[in-house]
Amino acid sequence: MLVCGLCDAYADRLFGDQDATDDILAFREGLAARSVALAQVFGVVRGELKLVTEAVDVPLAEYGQLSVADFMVSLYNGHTVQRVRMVLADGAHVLAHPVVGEAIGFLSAA
Amino acid sequence: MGERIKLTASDGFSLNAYRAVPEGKVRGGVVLIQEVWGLNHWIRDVADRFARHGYLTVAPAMFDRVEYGYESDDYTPAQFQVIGELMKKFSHETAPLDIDAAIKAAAEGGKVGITGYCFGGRQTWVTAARGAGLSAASGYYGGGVPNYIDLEPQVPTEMHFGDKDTGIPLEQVEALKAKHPTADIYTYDGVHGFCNSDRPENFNEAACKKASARTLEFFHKHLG
Repeated sequence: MLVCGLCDAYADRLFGDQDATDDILAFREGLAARSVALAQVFGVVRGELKLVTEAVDVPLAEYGQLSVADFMVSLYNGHTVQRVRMVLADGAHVLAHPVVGEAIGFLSAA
Repeated sequence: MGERIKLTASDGFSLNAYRAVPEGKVRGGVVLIQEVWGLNHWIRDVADRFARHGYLTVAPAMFDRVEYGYESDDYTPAQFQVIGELMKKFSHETAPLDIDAAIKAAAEGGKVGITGYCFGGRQTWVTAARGAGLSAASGYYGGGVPNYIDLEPQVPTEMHFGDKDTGIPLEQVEALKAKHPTADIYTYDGVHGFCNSDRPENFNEAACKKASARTLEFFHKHLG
């Protein structure tokens, strides 16, 4: 949630660094139109989308990619690990970190 | 120091075990439950250590019903999938039979205590909740605390956790402590596996010495 807030604040900073428009809301909408991930992050900050921590199944074939901590947690919790997921408007649950990572990447390049 | 032996569980299953016998006076018996890497070098070394301190120690091979003879000194992620598959097939129903066979064998030394690390730490708590004829239990970083927090130890019990164990968050340890005020729950400056000297990236010698000293003191008090 903190990272989402920081992304949201960074968008405002980008507005402050440009002089193409003095309409911050339009500027932010423009950013969101160019990045689905950022739009979703904005949605989290506005409270429209939720972040949840859920147990996610880990296929055995992916065990070698787990951190030691996740490996341990999975062994004692029915081969699941805890992951932060974003609940989208259509009800889909997606891993939050890749979305936030993509939003950060977009903001870095903007 | 020790030797490889076979145990026979009450349902007739024959499992491997490692038995270490003190050279001098025997103070009691200890059942040592492995991590998920089986009766590997480190666990056998721990068994030998308890024997040096006077305890007839028996470490059963807890995965023998799944993969007979499994043990590994490979702590890299290459083993994670292997172990994941073992744990998927591991039976919590038959595990007590194997542990009870080890308790019976360790009883040759007198009163029996149980100890274990990670997977073994969990089994330590779960077995303490059965009683199983034990006189004490001292477990290390037993994973999956929420799965056993409601079990009530029937014997004097202590548990040791690392305060930087990302697989066992401190709030889970605190919850365990709050739920079981009569158990001694200790935390140490360490990560998960802080007592495994074969894993230098996790091993914290000072923390392990302190925890191990507490275990010995606990066993001296309750076993002899």
